[in-house]
Amino acid sequence: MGRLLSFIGFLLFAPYQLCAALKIDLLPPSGYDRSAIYLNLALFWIAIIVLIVLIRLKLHEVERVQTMEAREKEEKIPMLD
Amino acid sequence: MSCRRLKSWIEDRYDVDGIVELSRHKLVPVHSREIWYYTGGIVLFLFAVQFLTGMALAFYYIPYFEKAHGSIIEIVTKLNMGWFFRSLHHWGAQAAIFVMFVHVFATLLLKSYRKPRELLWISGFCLLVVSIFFGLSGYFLLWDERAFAAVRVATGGAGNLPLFGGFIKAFLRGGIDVTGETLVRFYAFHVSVLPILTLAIVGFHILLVQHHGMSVPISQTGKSKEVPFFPNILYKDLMIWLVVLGVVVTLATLLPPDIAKKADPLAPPPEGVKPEWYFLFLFQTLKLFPGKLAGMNGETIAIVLISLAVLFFFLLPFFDRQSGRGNKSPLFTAIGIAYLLYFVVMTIVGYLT
Repeated sequence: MGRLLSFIGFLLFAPYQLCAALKIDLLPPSGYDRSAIYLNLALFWIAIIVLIVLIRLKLHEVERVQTMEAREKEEKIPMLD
Repeated sequence: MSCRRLKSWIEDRYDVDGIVELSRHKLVPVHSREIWYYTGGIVLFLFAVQFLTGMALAFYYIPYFEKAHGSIIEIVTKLNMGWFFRSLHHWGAQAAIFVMFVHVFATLLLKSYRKPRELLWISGFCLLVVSIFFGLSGYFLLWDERAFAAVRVATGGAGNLPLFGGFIKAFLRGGIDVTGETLVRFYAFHVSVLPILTLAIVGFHILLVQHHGMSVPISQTGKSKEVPFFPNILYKDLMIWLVVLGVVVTLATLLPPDIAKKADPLAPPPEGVKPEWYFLFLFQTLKLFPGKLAGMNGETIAIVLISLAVLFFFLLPFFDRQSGRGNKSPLFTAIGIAYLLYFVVMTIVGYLT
């Protein structure tokens, strides 16, 4: 009787267990870990934006100096009367 | 050893200042179409991401058919940040192939392939083919039922090519059918053959870019000005790379790729299985052909026609004589648009059906 019950139990639950075995957690399963991941993603984007702003400022500065140098060079060209 | 002494020690053995000087004097044209020229740099950046994440994954992946699927599950579920590296590798690959397609079509429509840059086009095209094979071989390493079915279809399709088809199929599969031998073979391609080929082709491509300089579209000739590559263009590249890195990391975090059931060579292919998005246009084209056409195998005819179309695409710079002379060539612009439309429409149709 016990064997029969365990066999019926196996038939009933085995498919669910097989499905459960296929479900793979692609992210860490705990809520705490997941919230830490999303927080880190937000911080990562903030860092990217800050870096882009810094590079943009640096590029502006470089372009300003280059324009100034080009203008200076133009002014130094002797004029032909 | 102080920093200055170390620098002079290196200087005595190699002319590092020469490289610095070269980069300072390298000028790059800027014009209204310059945005498309950054796609090459993005691909290079994504390749670097792929190399780094791939190396990390290779430490833990087991290229044996009984353990491959399990080792990936272990990487994802047990290793610290393993899920992230795998996901980043997946999305990095998708992004690299997508940007490479954009780069190819931009080159095609801006006629950057024109004389004397034909070899740039040829090397770029070879790089696209290598990248697609990278994608296919990497996909198969999962050893799940979808990847198994996709590789069986892809290698079977290659087998339909006349003359060398049978040899290519057997060479790729390492036997008659897709088996554990194929997994070992694809692993060898993915981690040794293709990376070396990629490095060689990328090196050649960059050497040619350095030699010829950036091309200027015919419509922009005389309208562009030149700026130094270092630091102006490098700063712009850095900003774009940061955004690309952000997008890829976000996709990797929010949409980690799933893992299907372990492949069973004896099981029938799962229903509704589709290849990766960059094969969808081929998949959809094959569907257009009936099983038999004029007494011949329809699939063989389709494969031959596709091969001819790809060959024409590959040799396009040699047919387009007008742009080589610096004239506009609307016929080849139309051909380029036709190729692009076909690719986009067939990919969308393949995705939706």
